[in-house]
Amino acid sequence: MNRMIKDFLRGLWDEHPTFRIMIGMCPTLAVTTTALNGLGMAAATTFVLICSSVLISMLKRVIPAGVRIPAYIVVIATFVTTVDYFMLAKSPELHQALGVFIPLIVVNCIILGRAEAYASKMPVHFAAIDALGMGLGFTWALTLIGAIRELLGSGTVFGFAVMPDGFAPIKILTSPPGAFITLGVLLALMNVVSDRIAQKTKARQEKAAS
Amino acid sequence: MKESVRMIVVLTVIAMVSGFWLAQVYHWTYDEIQRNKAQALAGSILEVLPGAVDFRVIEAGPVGSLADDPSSSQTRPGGDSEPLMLYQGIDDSGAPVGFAFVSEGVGYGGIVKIMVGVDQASGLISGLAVLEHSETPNLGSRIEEESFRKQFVGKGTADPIALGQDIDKISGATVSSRAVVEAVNRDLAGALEAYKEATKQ
Amino acid sequence: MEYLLLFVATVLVNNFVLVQFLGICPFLGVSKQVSTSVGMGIATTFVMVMAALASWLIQHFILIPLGLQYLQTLSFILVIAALVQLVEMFLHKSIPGLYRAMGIFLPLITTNCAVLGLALNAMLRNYNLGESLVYGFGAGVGFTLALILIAGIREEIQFADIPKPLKGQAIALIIAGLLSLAFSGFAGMI
Repeated sequence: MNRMIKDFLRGLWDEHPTFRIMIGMCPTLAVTTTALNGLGMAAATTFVLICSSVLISMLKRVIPAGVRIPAYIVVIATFVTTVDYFMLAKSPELHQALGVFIPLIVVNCIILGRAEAYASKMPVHFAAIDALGMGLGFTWALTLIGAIRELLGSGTVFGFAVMPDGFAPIKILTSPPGAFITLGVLLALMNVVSDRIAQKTKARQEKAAS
Repeated sequence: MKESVRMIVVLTVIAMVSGFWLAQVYHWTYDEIQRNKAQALAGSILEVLPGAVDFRVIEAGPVGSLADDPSSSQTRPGGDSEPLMLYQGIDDSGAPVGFAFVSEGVGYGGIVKIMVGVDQASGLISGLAVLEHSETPNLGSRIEEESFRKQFVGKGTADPIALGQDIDKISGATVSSRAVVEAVNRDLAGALEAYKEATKQ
Repeated sequence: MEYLLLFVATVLVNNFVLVQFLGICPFLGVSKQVSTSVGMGIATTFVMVMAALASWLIQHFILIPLGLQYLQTLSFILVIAALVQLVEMFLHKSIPGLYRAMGIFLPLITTNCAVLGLALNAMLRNYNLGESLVYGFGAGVGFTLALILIAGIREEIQFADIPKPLKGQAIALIIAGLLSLAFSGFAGMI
């Protein structure tokens, strides 16, 4: 049980896909012009990640090692196309906003990476919890980046105006250069925070030892 | 040898299951996707025809005459024989207020698809909406903005609409602006003629 | 003329990496040295042109005639994966020198979203075969250009005194942001 909690939390901070391993960067930068777009993209990715991790884990004894990569790709692409069509049917506006990045979930390294490194070796429930952790990690990152860019770039969050009247939007944050710079600054902040945490733990350990 | 047979069998089975599943997904979502598209189309028809509450579809037959126009160098997708669809707008008393049609121009990132509304009485443009485009965000995509689109209102077929004179282009997005103007010029006269022809009876 | 316009637009104005965010993973991962960037760029460009050709043929001779558009994503990614395998085997057998230079990059190209993005975008925009090929080549050149530019800057700042939290990918992202800003200047060109 402990092991499962650890597996779940891993994706949220220690092995965070966006801020630590730096994979799945294309949608992270491209669709986070608003918080809602970021959340929608991440939700679609998480759904595909969980479904394909579970299925690949179930099929791990059936798929021969020699064709495992093409087999994983077929499984992942199937779920991606499913999401693509259901989103087009249920929420055409979101589909329009995310555009080509929905079919591009297929080549999101998070999914193939988790399938190859984890789901293909572990029992189903572990694969599912790992995928959920990674997916939620990706989700909070994309929503946060989207919210920051939307707040400073247009003065709204999830479409609600929250800034005072005199606020002049920093328009560049909604454009491509703003995406790179926002993520760069966030990454630097994450580095400061985890340095602090590491120092504190070290100090505590030294205290305990002495 | 046995291993390679197994590889082929497993991969084939997975691919077949996937194919069947996706065919099902396509089938399940087909109606709703078509309905969304029809709704979006209806919305933009009513948007470009002020006063309209409903619309009728008029199929104006092949627009072969348009292709002979030397000023339009582009070929229509699907060949020149594709029928031009006219959407006649109707106000709440059932009287026609004008018609709308879809036209296309070649922009920067691909096809720019627009809906043009024409007023019943004057034959002048009553509204313009951008249906589809893949222009550069924040730049070419500004053809969607009202300040650009409303410049077309009140223009007519007397002479071709010229970019830079009748219509201010969006700075830095000449190609995208030109795509919209070209799309309007290409079919406006032909559509007007076809509409008069169709509503004569 | 139209092809030239498309090429310039794809390389500079709609640069795949800096404006459209396609191919960010190799852009950040492999861009520490100019020499490796050149190798990665050439290999990717080659695969992109091949992918543009193959995806166009599949779309127009298999998917559209049979009404199987819902298999587009699936078939394109499989074709790209197979293409990368073929290129790898071909280079390994016939041009070992080039294989040694490019070989390590090839497997990475399958999951480079710029390649699949290129195939999907070309179909979305209804390009004909000629346009698709120019688009594929332009996308590859634009990718290579962005990769070399950032690698050159990263080589230079290796010895600079960067604040500790910014070291590594954070500063790379901010440089990419400035490059992207510079590229947005091309937008007024056409």
